Amino acid sequence: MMSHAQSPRIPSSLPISMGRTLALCRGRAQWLAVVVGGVALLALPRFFSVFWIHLANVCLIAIIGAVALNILTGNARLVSLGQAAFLGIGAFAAGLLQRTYNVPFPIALAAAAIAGGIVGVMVALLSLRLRVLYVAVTTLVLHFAVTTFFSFVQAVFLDSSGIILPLPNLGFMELQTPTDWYYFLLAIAALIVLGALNLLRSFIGRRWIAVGEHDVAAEALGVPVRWAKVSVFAVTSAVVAFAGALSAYYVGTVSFESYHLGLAIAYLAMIIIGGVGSVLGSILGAVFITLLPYVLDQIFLIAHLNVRANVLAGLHQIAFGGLIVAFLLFEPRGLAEIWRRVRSAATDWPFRYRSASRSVR
Amino acid sequence: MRQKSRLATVSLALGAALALSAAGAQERAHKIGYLADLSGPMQDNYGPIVEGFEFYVKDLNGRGGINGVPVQVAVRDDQLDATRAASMALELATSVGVNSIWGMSQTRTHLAVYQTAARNRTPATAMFSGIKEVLPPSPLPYAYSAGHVFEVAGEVSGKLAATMLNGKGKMICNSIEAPGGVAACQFAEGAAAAGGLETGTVLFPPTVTEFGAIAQRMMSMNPTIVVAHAGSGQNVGLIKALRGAGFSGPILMGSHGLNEAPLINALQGIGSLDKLQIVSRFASPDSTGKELADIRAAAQQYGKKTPIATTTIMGWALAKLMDASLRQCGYPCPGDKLNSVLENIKVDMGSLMGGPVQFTPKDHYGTTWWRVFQYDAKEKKFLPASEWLEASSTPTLRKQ
Amino acid sequence: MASFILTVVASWGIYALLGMGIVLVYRTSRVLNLAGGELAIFIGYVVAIAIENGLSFPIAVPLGMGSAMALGLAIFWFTIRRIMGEPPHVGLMLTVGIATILNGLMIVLFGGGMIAVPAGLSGFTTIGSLRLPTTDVVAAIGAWLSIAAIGLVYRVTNLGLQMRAVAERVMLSAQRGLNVDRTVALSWIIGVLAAGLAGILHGERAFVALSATVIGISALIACLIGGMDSLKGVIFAAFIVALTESFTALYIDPRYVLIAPVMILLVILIVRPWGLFGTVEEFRRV
Repeated sequence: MMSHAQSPRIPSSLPISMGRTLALCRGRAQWLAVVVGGVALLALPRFFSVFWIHLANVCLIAIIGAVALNILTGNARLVSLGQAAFLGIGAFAAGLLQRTYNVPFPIALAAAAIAGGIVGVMVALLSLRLRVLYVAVTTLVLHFAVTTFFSFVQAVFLDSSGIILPLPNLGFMELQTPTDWYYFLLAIAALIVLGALNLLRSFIGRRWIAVGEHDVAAEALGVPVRWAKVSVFAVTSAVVAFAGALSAYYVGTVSFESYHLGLAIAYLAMIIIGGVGSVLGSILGAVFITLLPYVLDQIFLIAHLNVRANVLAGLHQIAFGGLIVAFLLFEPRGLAEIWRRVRSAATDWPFRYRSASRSVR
Repeated sequence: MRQKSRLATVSLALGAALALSAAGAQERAHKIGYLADLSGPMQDNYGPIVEGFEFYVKDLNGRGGINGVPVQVAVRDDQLDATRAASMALELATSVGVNSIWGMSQTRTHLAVYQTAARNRTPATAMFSGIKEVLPPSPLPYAYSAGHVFEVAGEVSGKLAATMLNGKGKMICNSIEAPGGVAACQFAEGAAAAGGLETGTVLFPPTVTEFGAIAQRMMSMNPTIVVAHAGSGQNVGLIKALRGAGFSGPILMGSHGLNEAPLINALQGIGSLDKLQIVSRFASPDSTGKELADIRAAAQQYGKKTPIATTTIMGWALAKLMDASLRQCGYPCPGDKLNSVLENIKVDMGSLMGGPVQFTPKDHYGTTWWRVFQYDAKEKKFLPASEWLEASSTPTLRKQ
Repeated sequence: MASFILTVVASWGIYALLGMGIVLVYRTSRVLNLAGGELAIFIGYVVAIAIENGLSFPIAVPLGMGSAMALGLAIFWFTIRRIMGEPPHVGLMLTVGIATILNGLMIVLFGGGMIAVPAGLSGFTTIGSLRLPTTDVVAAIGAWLSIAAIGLVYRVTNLGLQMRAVAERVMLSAQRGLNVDRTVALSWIIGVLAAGLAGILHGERAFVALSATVIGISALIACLIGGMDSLKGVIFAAFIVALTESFTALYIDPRYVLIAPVMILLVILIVRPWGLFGTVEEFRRV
């Protein structure tokens, strides 16, 4: 151990101890960034129109779903095409409870999460023996089964175009305007992001990552692989269902038609483009994919390209698919990696790199 | 010091100029929003509705607008997605500042749009079909429909089937496995059974394109008449398969967003166009009347090269409703004032529809009139084959 | 009854053809092609538009086949070539991206509406005392001829031998001097060709539309039931899928047409996940 009296001043951002390595925030610069970022996020509603606050809300819900999916698919390497199914399970659980028993908002959300967790456990048990590709297939089967089940329920038992949900009441505040929702969703998303970061640093998270990297080796090292797979599915599915319920209350309606395979693909695109395996990647990817169609519309507007509306959706799809392919081919670690490169170029300048053995988070 | 004061004066001057120009740019206009699926696979159905609406508005503005105030339409594409539809409705209501939303696309988006519209106190009126939440006794606030609500359309088709067969025979209703389709067939069966027919329903998923086995199943149920409430694209496949399986009886289609020309083109040459009928609230494009002549004139003037369709008429009729409501509202017309106008409105549609469009506080759909059009092989057109039949907005459900 | 059998045979042929396309590329490049449906309908659109613009059926079909082969080569050259050897989920997501691009292209280039591929033959064919819809007959004959042709190439020709070699033992084949890249490229060409033919025949029999890409899901289910790396398996499983779909439509309820094969797949995943004829994968006991 170095004696502080004699050692040169070591920048507080260098990971010289276990505590420092695992810390979320290293050094004064990072703390400053967190504070400034936090203030900016809190002040956002003052400077943007209602529509953009609404888009921010959609992004926040997407972030919650993407963070969960990234842990499942990115860290634990269990490719899941069932995102839409779990979102639907959460939405329908909350919606049906609200409609039948008029439960308060927090109970509906909790019930949605529990429902998602239970189905997640079932899927996990089903796919324990299977290799990566077959896990994806199992989740695909889940998607079809769940969406068909909900369409049946909606057509036969609900007898309507969907469930209508009233604006939720939190007790201390009613979530009426997009700005109310913004602060609420910001708090929830921040909690989930912090939770994800902490989970990944904890022994549970490290087990999940170990199982993802090489499950046989993990078993050999003593990691209870079966528990790990079941637990990761349970936790992430619960969070995704939770996000689905939030979205249902936000839009105000639940209908099975919104939960199609394209939604699952959009979330997978979020984590691929954002960066698999990193929470920052989930955030970047979620914001990118959510805002993409609106940004594209603006680009076309500004460039006076006057594209016929009936071609615009096709262009959205081409851009979307093209980005997935491009990121897979050229930048498999996604936007997060691009961000890291830019950041290290800025902090290391005028040096090209800092050291060969830097740990990458 | 001098530099700072120079900077201050320049920025003050700029600011003032901007403020003045912004004030000057505030012109008098009725701002309304139009939401539709313009780019998805159903664009063939919605495109003409928007066109018809826009022809009317251009014509109206050309004549000076409503008491001198022009109408500005902001069109947005919802891409058949409920969440995007809600986002676009919010944008229209808040950023663009419209006082009403018109048009809308498939029923899956309706609830989301109605919710957003109601939260922003902006009335929304659907033209393409409609959901039962606009029917009495307690319609959703700020939600209206002037199109074909599946429940009512279903009941009308069932009654018509019974009348056509004089109370003897079997009606098979088919539709897609979606809430609207299921409802349409339930009500059709109820009405047909009340008229003395035997009934049956065959539902299929919306993504089916190959109808061989489904047609065989329908044949095994021995239908005398088939009522089809699926989308027009699937109806084409179904009709082909039915005729291929040997069905030679009449086929009655619900006109949910129907475009006649592609239908006729697709079914040519297979002998599938005989005994093909459509039931609709609107006149067919080959009908006569002053309003229809107006539509054709406007279409020609604004550059439409293909003939008009029922969907063009739907758009024009919706615009007529919009015109009457804004006229009654006056200028300026905020959303809730327009809503109270719509809740008590009655608009005469002339030859476009069989009767007036009328809303009341407890009924955001109103009594409707329907007519059957049959395909005439000589004229190659759909011509009227019945009078206008009245239908109430409270269809009686007789569940099996 | 006869028309029911014909319906099943035609569907079987189309699913088997499309499934073969997926299995062929999986065998050589270990990429599960989720874009099968989009590829098929894309080529179907090409042929339909060509016919709409005046070309006759016997000219438009080879045009479609040619574009399918070009498309297969392009996909291999620009994407698959760069990701060979990566873990399987990369290829999976890549094909998902390709499917999305194709979907967008179909909207932009072709409009995305419903078009038929008119073969100029309609009405009924009379065989003995049976009156069968001609479109189904053409589809069935076309599908099975294509399957036979591709099977023949695979079994009999040198190219087929090379593809089988690369499918079984890549390293050994490379060491023996086989140009692995070229073989994989050719397998993609043939694979997309098979998909394209399936799309053309489906358009001839029913019509092409954006929603018709669901035949890709049915074919994928057939691949998974039969075993992703078994051609025999996919042909047999396509029969199961086609029979299930038509049987459900006719005797149970058409609402469940698309979910019935999924249920069978679920059973297979529990009981024998590597498929009925697939290579028994040694699943690690974890």
